[in-house]
Amino acid sequence: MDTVSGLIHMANQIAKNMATMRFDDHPTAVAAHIKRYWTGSMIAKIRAADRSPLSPIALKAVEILDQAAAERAVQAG
Amino acid sequence: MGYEPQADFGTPQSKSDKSVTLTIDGHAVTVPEGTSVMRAAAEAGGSIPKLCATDNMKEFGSCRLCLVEIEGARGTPASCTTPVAEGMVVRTQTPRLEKLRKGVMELYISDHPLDCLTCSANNDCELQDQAAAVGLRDVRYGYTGENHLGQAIDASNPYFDFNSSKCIVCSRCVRACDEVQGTFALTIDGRGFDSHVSAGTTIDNFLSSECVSCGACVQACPTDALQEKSIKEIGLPERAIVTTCAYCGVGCAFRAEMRGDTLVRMVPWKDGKANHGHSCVKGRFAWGYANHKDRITKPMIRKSIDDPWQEVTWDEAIAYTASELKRISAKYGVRALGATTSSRCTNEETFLMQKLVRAGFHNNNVDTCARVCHSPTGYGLGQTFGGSAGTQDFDSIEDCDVILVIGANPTDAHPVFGSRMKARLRKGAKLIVVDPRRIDLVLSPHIKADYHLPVQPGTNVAVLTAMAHVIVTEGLADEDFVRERCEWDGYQDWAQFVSGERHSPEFLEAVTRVPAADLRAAARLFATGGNGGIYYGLGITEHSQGSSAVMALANLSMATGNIGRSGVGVNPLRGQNNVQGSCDMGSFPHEFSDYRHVSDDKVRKQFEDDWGVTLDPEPGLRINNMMDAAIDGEFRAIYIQGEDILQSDPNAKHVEAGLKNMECVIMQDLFLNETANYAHIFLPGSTFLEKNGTFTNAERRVQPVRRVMEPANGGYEDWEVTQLVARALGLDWNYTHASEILAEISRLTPTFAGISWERLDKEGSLQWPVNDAAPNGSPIMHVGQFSRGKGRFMVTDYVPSDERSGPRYPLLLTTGRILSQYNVGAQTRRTANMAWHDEDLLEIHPSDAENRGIKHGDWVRLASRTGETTLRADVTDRVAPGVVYTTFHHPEALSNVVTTDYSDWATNCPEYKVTAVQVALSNGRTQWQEEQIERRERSRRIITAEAAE
Repeated sequence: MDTVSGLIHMANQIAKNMATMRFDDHPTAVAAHIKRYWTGSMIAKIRAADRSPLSPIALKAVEILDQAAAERAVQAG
Repeated sequence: MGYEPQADFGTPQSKSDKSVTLTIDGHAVTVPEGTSVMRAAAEAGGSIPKLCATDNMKEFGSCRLCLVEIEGARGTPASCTTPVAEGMVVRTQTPRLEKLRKGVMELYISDHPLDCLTCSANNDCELQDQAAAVGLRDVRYGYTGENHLGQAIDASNPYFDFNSSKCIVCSRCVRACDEVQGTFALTIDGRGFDSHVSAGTTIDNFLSSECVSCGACVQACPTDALQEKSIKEIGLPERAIVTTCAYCGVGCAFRAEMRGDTLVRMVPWKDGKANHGHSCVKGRFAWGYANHKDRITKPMIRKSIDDPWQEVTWDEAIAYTASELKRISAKYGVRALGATTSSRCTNEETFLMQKLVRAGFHNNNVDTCARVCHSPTGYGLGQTFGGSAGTQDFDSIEDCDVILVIGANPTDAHPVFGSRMKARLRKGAKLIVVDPRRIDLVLSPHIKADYHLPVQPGTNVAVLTAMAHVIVTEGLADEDFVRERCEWDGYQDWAQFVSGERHSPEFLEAVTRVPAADLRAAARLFATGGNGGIYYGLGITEHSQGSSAVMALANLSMATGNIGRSGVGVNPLRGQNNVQGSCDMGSFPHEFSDYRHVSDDKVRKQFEDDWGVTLDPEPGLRINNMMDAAIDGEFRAIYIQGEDILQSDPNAKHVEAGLKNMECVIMQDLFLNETANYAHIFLPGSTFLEKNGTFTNAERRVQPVRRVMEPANGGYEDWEVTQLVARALGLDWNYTHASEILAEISRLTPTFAGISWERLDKEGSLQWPVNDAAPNGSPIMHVGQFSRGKGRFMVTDYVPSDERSGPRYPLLLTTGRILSQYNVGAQTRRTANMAWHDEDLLEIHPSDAENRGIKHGDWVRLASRTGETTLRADVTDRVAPGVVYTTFHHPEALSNVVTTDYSDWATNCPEYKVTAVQVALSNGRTQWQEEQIERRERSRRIITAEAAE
């Protein structure tokens, strides 16, 4: 599978496996996991990708990553 | 040190806390209760003659040489079988004893060849020593009667010979095979004068027998009857240096016995705390690769992977390496570079490689081969316990009442620990095996698993959740332990989750294919059978739910109170010698040593201050992501130390595509391996015999590796080559010895704070954490409290793999290892271990074979959605119907061409254990195999420095 398909698959897998774990907010936990282990370029690629194959939790997680990126951009001026 | 055989106290050390004082030859001696008179005398500096006794086996009392006189006792009891008693008065040298011993020795010598001067055991023969000790001067019986002097030599084993004419039938070899190794391959055949040692049935020789060539019998033999061929060829060693084996994660300590600069033999060190004097066929005998003709000893470069290699000087190679790295960094950016460390290299070498990437490449694109084996262990145990390592020492098995082996095959992959496990089982511990294959532990001599749960590949989490279901719903959980030691709320969530009917063994039976009744019984046994210890391997981690399965194991151990003392715990059996160490040293792209994240400002500043550089706070690429990025044109250069990613990593075509797309592939290795076919720079590596450093084994034991010979590559240990590259890139590194790197590791790594070269030299080994809280190390972790404080239960729902069998690919392939070969076989394929396993075979159940018209030994085509290869079939019911199995030791089959890109959700550890495949009769190699052969042949062309001139 190509890189972007692979990243989407990974994000969905993370979401699926974390879905039953004890977290206050699952999308936030998934986003934190991605941020902890993925490079900036991988995160940029999934943010830029077609989001239709993302599961609901993974989609929200990517949106959280969008928000974090936007906040960083604001901070950076 | 000079050459001295290790002292032999005759019988094992007593573990009693009580002391007994007796008198031996007029001297008061105090020893633990249960000690034999023989051992007490030896510990007091005396020496009672002996032949059948040796201190790693139980007393036997057959040779009648060790007789002593004891005041108040009748006759002359054997000192090996007589335990000490308070106030006992023993005499070891009296005229009566001398006469008796001389008479016994006469009988032995009357049936023994008197060819001492030409015997390969001359000067290393206990019979010779004891004959001298008893003062034997003549043999009254003569030598003309019936004897065994003309026996044929069994030279079938590639590493040792059995010469029956030199055998004194002391049974030490038989007992070693039984008690130490646990294989029961040898026996004493015949009666009385016709008694002789036999390897199996009368038609067997050592090679065809059940013998696993661990060497225990050779080590135990007091004469030349069982002797290493290397001793016969080279002669006796002159000196011995203690070092650590470079094969599996058991970390056996060996004496490298040398004659000049030639290694004569590797003898397991009795004081080694991981192996206690035992060994396996790899560590004991398979070291011939170190000076194999295939070793590349001169640096080589080439512009294109289609060119022949050109030998160059070290200066030229390092300058070219640095110039290429600088060029690519300038052209594509710093993140276009990366590296992999090796779990076969030392801690010091691994630490320097990650330092090179972080400080010299200016990114965090460093990963380790542990990515593809035990990365889920780090994640799973980190989440639940707070420590990314196994919880126990190996000695813990002695206190284990119920052993749960899941996804591991210790007798093949961790043979020395496997033998200890078998010894414990023979003493009565119960055994649960969860494995798709009927591994040897399920049924072998004197071992029978209480339960074998033949799990369907990919369903470990379902099995473990079902076990948890039984434990919780039947009220078998240790709630007192959980309340005291774990997060109670988390436990309640977890308990509620696993109690759901959909997690019952009955509900999940269709998924796991494990009979519900067996699973229930196994769960009850684990929860109620006393100390429960979990031992697992890559059959747990190498799944899309590898991390979940590790957490599920941690849940089980916490729920049953099986953590924090001897005999319990969660124990990952590490595949390679330094998997634990490579992870500890900061080889993962998101963390520094001691598992601290690169984004932690405080930690990063500590490294920045020490190294004098600015470090990247963003995680780097994992190895599989590096290949993706290479294919995308973003990642252009990789420095690979001690790995063969083309053969070992999944989806070999994907790896090939990534490597082909890079502008600079730097290999540092012993041999031109499959990855080197795509390399541009080859930096010759050094073997473990040629370097100083440390390895950390599966029980967190840091042990010294000592240089016993000069590096064949011109004198460079691997860390020195890394330093040359670093200096050429402008880093001011000036290490002169591995101990200086270890000092830096200790300075920057809290769990290593108390470890130093000097301490390791003095104490032999230390188990991290070694710090102010645990100055002498930590054999067992999480005693009293978990590393993270309270243990954390993690809900692990079963999520089926996306890799599914179906009409086109109806079978499930799982891969693994075999005793005689190691990993990609780069080392063991270049030894006589090829006698046992010279090709990868495909195990297939008889019914699956019959359905396809496949007979044992047929060439078959193994095809998946990813690729295909051919290999020969091994038709066996060791695997269940619907499951096939192969190894990945040989590049000819290169079985990873069929494994997929799917990986563990948390760590990207590849899902090697689940690949949907089809198997059919084959009429020849696949096109890809043909291409690889051609590529390999092209890549073996070398223009020597002399030819270039």
